[in-house]
Amino acid sequence: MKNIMLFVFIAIAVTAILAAVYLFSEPRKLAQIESKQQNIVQGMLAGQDVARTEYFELLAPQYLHLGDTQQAQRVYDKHNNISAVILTALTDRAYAGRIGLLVAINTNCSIASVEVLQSQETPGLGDQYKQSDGAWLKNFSGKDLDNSDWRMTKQGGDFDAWTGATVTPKAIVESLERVLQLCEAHHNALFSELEIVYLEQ
Amino acid sequence: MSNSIKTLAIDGLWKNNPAIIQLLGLCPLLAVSNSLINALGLGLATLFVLVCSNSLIAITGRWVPDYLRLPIFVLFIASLVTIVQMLLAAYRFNLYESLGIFLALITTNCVILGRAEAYAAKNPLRFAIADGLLQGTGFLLVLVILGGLRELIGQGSLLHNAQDLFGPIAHNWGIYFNSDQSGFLLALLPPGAFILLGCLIALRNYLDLRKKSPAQLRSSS
Repeated sequence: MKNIMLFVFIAIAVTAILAAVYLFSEPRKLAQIESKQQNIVQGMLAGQDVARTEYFELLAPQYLHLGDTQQAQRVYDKHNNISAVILTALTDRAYAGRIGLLVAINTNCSIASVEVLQSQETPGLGDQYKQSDGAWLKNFSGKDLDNSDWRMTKQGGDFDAWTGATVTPKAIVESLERVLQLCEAHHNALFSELEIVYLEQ
Repeated sequence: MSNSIKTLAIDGLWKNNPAIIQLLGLCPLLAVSNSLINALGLGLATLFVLVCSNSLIAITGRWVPDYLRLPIFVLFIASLVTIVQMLLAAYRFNLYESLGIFLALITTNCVILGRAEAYAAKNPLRFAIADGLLQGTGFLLVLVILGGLRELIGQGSLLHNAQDLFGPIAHNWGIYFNSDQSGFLLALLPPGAFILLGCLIALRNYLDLRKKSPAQLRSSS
């Protein structure tokens, strides 16, 4: 009995210490995540007329591959018009695990820019989007469903795969195409002032 | 006493090195050693947890009844790892992200529970701290050598992303031997980790054998 009390006491003491460290470190961690995301977003919007960005909540059923719920952003220009929407798209069809993409789309539903948020692809093969300063990803800017064929070059489309890795670029291209389709289907809701947007078929 | 610390040092760094002799903690060792900075980060985190857990256990060891020993040791180790994890997330977020799950897996690193059981619980505090420091350094050294070799062979650089560990002052510490950061890819992939660790173990055994006189060799075989 005495020993059980000793164990419980140690457990409580340790938990208290952990709680204290958590309370102290969690705000800093959240700030770090926030500033990292903001850095990426700023990089994506470099050279554009951006007055402010505003978060909104995007809810989507699983099969749309946007995560259940996410904090998406609307970009406003200095005339207070929405110039772009930034959202996260996920794909599980890559070679190793999930790829998370941060996609900025223009009001005419074309890609403004794309960044890879998370990926566990094979270094040197599946992460060739990093090469030459992300040239492959920059290539998507301005592409939409009408002006491009969203298949790989091998299938007669407009997008090149990489030497040694075909699955990863295909997954990224598919994921971007899906985002554009969603944009066309839900354009009004995405580019509105709604604080919560729920995407349904 | 100095003699005992010296024994601990020889044990931790060479004779009984946790990584290349005891072969403990290989999972994080192989997974995270793909760059010098990742290896150094995980090595330092492990060293810190090992020193703290060894001292905690040396202090509390005598009050803890035998059958409660393991749960309490694991509780201490897990809490220390959680603290390290939370602090890294707050102050070195990029490093925290690139170490990923292997940071939490320090809890299950056998080196730590092994030293708690085999040494810290039975020895006075100052020796337990020295043991933690030296075993941890032994582990760190192997991790750093492996990480450095893999980064050098795999992408032709050293200290790439040093700012993840050392902060903004380290922004241009990286040394690049070729411009496009490509190299012998195998070294970055898991098989490369096994092959290079194998080479390190072989090298250490070779050096050890060379030190022994032929007479000793004959008697031991």
